[in-house]
Amino acid sequence: MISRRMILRSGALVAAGSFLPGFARRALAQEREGKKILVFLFLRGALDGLHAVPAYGEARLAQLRPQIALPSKDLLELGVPGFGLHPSLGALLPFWKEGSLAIVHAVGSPDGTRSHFDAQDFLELGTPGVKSTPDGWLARALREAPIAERSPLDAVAVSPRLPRALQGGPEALAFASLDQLRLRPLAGGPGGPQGRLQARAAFEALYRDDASAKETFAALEMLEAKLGPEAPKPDAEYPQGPIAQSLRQLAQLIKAGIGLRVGCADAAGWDTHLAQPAQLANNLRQLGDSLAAFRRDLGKRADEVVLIAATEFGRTVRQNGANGTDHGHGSIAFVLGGGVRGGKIHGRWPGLRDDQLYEGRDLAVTTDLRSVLAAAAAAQLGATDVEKLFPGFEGRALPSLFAL
Amino acid sequence: MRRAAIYFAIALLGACSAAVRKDLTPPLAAEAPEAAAGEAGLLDSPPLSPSEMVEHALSRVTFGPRPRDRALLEREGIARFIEDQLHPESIADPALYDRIYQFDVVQEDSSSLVRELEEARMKKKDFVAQLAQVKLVRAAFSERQLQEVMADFWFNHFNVFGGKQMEAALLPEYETRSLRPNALGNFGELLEATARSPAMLIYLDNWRSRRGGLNENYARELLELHTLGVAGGYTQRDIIEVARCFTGWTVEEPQKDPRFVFRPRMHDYGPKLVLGQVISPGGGEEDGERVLRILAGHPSTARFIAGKLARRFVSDDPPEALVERLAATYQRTQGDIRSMLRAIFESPEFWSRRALRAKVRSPLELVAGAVRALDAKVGDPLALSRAVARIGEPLYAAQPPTGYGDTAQAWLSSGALLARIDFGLQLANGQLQGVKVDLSPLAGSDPASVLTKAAAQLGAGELSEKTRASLLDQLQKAPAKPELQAARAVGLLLGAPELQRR
Repeated sequence: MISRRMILRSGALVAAGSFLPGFARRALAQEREGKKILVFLFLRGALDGLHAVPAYGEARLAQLRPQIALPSKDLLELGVPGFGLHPSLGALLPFWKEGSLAIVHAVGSPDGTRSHFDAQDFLELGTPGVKSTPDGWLARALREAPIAERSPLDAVAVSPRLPRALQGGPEALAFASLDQLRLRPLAGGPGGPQGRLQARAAFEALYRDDASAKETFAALEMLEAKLGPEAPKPDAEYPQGPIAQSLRQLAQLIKAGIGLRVGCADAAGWDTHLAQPAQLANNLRQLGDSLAAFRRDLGKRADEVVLIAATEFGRTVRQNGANGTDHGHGSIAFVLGGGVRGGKIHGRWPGLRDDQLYEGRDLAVTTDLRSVLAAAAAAQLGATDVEKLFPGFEGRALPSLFAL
Repeated sequence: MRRAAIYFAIALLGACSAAVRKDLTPPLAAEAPEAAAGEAGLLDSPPLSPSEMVEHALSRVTFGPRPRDRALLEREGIARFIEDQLHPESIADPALYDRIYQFDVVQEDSSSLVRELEEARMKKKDFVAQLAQVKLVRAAFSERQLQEVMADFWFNHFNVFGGKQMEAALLPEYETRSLRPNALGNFGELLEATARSPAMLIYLDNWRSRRGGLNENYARELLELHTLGVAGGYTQRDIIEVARCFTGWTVEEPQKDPRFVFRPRMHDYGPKLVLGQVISPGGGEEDGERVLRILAGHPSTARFIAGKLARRFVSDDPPEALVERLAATYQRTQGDIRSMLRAIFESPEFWSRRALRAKVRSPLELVAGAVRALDAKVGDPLALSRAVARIGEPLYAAQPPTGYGDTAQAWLSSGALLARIDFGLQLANGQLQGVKVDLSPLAGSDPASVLTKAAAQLGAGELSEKTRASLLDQLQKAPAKPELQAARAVGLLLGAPELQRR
């Protein structure tokens, strides 16, 4: 079979301004629908898992957090003895009950760094403690995935720059907002689609020696054909805020059938050194409401999509001097979507006694986040070789996270 | 003495012919024998031509050349220009104030800005929008270009996010009192100015850290991002000890008239051990000062700052020998930033062919650079600051304390590339509200001459045959009106790969 990349690169089919004739584009795009999709939402800044999903059954929690622990009567019932859900995450309860939302607790990295930036790099590279890894874990997952027809739209990040997780692999598209993806006509050129085509052709020629720019223009052309001039109204009500904005755009692309297999987005604002209860009440509401809207917006495609929301590390079990928490170790991850064994907290609970805490201060890590990511990559992308996904990782994909 | 002589050699260059260039190499090489003998020798030839040197110097010392800057450097010499820029207080900048005085963030002090925020007369995002416009105007129009380049550099080094709590209202003073006056001064003084600034104390939560209720946030970023670097040799224990030293460094009347204060009752008076140095019990405010001195004098800090400056001014992955020499300069001068910059501008690595156009322009550099290159008239900078945001650098809105990155990786994405190209078209087509460019001097009798003039004015360098041919092709397709031809040439060039670099 001729790969799409070959078609893209073969001179014979490259008409002025068009990498792919319309019929081929349509045919390929149709073939690409119905494939499973993995979305990674990076909660940058270190979410306190003990605040989002408190282990209220542990008396130590309230002792160590006299001002910030939520009273257990305020928590939402998860049906798991000793654990509750933060009330701001109420929008997720229906998914928990229907079984499409799972929580992994005491999850994280074997590396002990408490630097946000190192820990974020390690997570994205998939190699805790090793910064020299040339490619990100999602780039490797994409490469390993048995994708017959590759396209620059296989992977999309709603992010001002290509996230490290996608660097070093097959071409991926990154944009801060879909609104970036348009070119106006050249001076003195015609308006409308013809003018945009002319501008695109002119810059394709100027960037002909730049492989990644070439794919950008190809992607632009395909997006223009698929998306039309105006964004359609989403099929669910999203809240305000950047998480919702990013997920809405990913949903828009998924529903347009562009063949997306991997989506990335960021959610910032979890570094709660101060006034944690108020900050998280607000941020968790945004997160929960956005995830719920995303899943509803996807409609009939919802079960093809799995979203993982994870963070670089957790926070100290003890509150600090400003009703906040400092950098810690273990945290939580949310896994939402089709095929997920939800309604369940996965992982082993390490306990909160002093001798059970990591370095006497943080929630310990009992599940390596890589085993969660590996399970999702296998289920959604068919990338099953854990050693290739995570070089040096001796664990395996978390069993029982997905129904096979 | 030797250094002065070398510098003088560069001074000659601007004024003299290309022949002088040959004489420049040996003394520069003597400054860095290993660089000259090894990597520099083979890969960096041929040496930069005089016009390339002018272009290169302006691309690093300023936000991009204006046409008259090239003439100035050719007339007075590169070294004279650089030396002037290293002493911003010697440069008159009379017109700048007229361009920014209408903004509240320029006119009002912190306490009135904070009160406006508290009384909800202004929103955080309005402060941030004003600050972004002022920054853009300064980048485009201040005569003290190197000072603005360094103010931007230090802002990202000592980043404070404008959207968090009340920091937005504190940022004007943070920039004008803490950062800009120290931008070319002593690193230790700059560090202390940030440590005592209400903006930083609030952003990284130190104002709420107290004995028995530590907050590690500032201590950690102080070590990791402001001084030693993440691999600089500190432990979690050091972070806690540093945090203890800074207990009591807080902010008085944060919601009315915010200013630094040391509160003894919040301070931890016990003994501390920071990076192996004993800090005796009983010390108060001076514990924090002591920590800052330890950090500013630490070899890891010298290296970390040297590496960042070399990355800003030379290349994303600067030569190790240069970083080492800069670190030595830091140590020899106790952190004199001006001396480090001078060492960069005197280095063979700076002047090597490998450094030419080695940096991808940040969105701010791209937009300010286009305004400068075209001598654009800016009646209202709002559209320009929005363009900077759309291309990927919403100013004062970097949430993590790392600020914005300084490598190609930080700026390149599909969306950013298209937004860059679209900005060029928007500016050239006259579609940016509040911004006027007069392209009539570029109009010519035929597409080839239009293209040559436009490329020279924009500093596009030597266009390759292929690029030139495809640009000419586009110009020939444009209607034959001279102003449309010029606009089309400028729009295409601003978006071309050559103009994304400096």
